[in-house]
Amino acid sequence: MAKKKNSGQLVWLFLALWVLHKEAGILLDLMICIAELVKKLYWLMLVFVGLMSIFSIYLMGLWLGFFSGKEWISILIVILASGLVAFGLLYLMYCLFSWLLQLNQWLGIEVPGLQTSNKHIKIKNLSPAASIIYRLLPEDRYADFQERLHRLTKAKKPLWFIRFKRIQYLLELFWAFVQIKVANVWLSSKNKIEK
Amino acid sequence: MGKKSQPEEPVRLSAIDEDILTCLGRRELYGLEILDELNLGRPSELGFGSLYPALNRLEKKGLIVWRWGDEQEVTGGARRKYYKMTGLGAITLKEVRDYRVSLAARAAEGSSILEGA
Repeated sequence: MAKKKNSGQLVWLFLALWVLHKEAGILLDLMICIAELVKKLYWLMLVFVGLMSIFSIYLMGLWLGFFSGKEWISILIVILASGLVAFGLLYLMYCLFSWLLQLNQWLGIEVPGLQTSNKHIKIKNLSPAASIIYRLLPEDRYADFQERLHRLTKAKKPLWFIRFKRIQYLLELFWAFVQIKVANVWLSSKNKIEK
Repeated sequence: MGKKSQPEEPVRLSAIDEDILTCLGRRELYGLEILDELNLGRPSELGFGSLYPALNRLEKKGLIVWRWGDEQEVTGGARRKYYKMTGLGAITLKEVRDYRVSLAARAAEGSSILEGA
């Protein structure tokens, strides 16, 4: 009886493994889609966590101020703890983000939205700040952005001016990104209505 | 049986779209080159925020096409996108220019009538 049960379980295991093997491609695609989503939501989450930690510090500070005699010690502890928690969360998110991008690189699967060239290989040679910008921008826009900064450096402009211009260009690129997304959504909805 | 042929919707061009198409002409330019051309002697300078949405719009309308260029040192190893005007783009631009010429002619006619009166 026990033998029959075991063989039944083995059959089920075999079937499960077979299905997993068959569906592995779909699972990987799903994981990469999640990676893409995480990439898109990364900055949003960063801002959210920052805001939440500030809000929690504020709330806990108020609460401790009411119920304890030594407010300043409590507030200091809360600030330190919240800071550590926020840092930890950010670091975790960064790790997850990097790992998922690595996964995409190892698998060599092209995902719409992620750049299709040997971009990840190039990232290794860039500074951390440049690599973040490189990951967020489409390749052609990054090229134009870099060239514009290169021109300023070549013209021997002061460092503060170059930094200021970098922020200005990034804001312009962000604004362009928003406009393009809105236009594309509007165009696709218009096409759907026409169909 | 066949579908009734609908009258083709005219392609609309904004001022910046028209400028970009004029810049491209028969040349192939990348984003920053187009921006440089547009800003040459322009009273108010254009930025990335105006350029890329316009390029996206023109591409969606089928007025321009693009291809990837080679990796460059000045761009930090990133590739440029080279844009080129399509046949439809050239036709649309010509139509807009013809309209402007006719408009200017009518305006000139009107002003000469007013001067004569």
